[in-house]
Amino acid sequence: MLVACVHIPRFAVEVERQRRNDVATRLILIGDAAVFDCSLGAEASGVRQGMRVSEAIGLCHRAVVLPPDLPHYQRRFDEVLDFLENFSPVVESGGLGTAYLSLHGLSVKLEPLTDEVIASLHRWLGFMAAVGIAGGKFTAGVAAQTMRPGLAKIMPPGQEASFLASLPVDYLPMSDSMRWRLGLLGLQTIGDIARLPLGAFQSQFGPKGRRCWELASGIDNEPLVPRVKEETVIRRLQLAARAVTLEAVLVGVERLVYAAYASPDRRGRWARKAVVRAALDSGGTWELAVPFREALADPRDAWFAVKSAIARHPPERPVEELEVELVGLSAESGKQAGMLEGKGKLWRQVEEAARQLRAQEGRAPIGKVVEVEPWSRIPERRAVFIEFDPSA
Amino acid sequence: MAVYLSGHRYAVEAVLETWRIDDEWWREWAVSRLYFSLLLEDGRTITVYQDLVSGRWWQQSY
Repeated sequence: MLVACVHIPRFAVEVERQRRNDVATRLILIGDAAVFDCSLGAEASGVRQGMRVSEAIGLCHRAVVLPPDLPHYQRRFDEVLDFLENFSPVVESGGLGTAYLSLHGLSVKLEPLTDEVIASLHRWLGFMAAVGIAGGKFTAGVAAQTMRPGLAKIMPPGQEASFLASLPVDYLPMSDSMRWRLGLLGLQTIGDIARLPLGAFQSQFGPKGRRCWELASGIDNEPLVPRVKEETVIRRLQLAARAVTLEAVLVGVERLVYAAYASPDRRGRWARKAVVRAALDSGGTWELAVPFREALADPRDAWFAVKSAIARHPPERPVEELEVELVGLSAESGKQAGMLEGKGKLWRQVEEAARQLRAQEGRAPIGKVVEVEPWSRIPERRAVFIEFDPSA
Repeated sequence: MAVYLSGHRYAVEAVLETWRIDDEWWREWAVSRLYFSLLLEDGRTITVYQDLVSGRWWQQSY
């Protein structure tokens, strides 16, 4: 099965370069305590992902350090995945910056396809990608990673093992301890692993070792798992002035929640979750996911849940733009009641009321009687009155 | 004979039952009570007890 891998190296850095004019030609480090991503120049200075930022600055003191904005990077990558669906109906995300496309059943010429993908991705979204095409995900991915952005490598069938042979073992999916042990054994390249008998290798490294051996030998049957694109309803609000207080943010979010529920895109469906996002003053994104205990069709119920969540986890800086996304749209949800259940609807209403009171007041002023010492001769010792917890 | 509940006087029609409990004698405040099950003039049945340690009367609302 032919698979194409589209790889945009240093994706987070590219997103930041597009977003901010002041870092277009600077060395960039992205991270808080550890380096999340870095520009090519920083990498050439010895900076690596996962390295402590303080150590990275020592290697690259002229770099600009930016805080990671993961929701924004994911949103930009979702745009890339949406765009790639123009080339294949089966697109799988391989992590930020990497996507796999199934070419099975598509009657396309491979070289024009790779040229078109690279050119149009750059033209429409501004990203320069490398493309690899091979008979499996792993080899296609390695092929894309070994090419410079803007170039493509098409692997003829049956050539996978010979292509991989001279590459270092770091490309294989393995833990640090396995990599260390391979180094002790003098196994430096993928070809070194492929030349070993499977039984001996698997006995040393177990099932993960077997997988590495198979990949090294060009055996890659892992299927593509297409991304599930959920239909959502999004409403945005550009604030005329920065919202500095929580009350101002809540006013904006309330408007958006009601607008999202009133949207014809919702088509009367019930939402299981709301995601509130805000563009923060001087860059960065704040995001809060509010899952509902059950699918909701009434905006008042959704607003109650969203407001409580924001009060507990408010944005830390002033807000310039707000967005509300209703996720998990479904038909009306029903509850499967037990056949012999006596409590039924009334009990569920009590549970829901207790949950909402707890969310609103911090504690639910509902109690229940629990037997403690029913045998006691002292009547008030037989039972106690405790707070009612519907989750217990 | 009558009882006062929440400031109201209710005549006692009958003493239905009486019993005593003595417990937790090992504690500083032992439990020693004399219970009465009473039928009031309005038809209600209540349980009251006299705390034999302090001498005070209480209603037992289970």
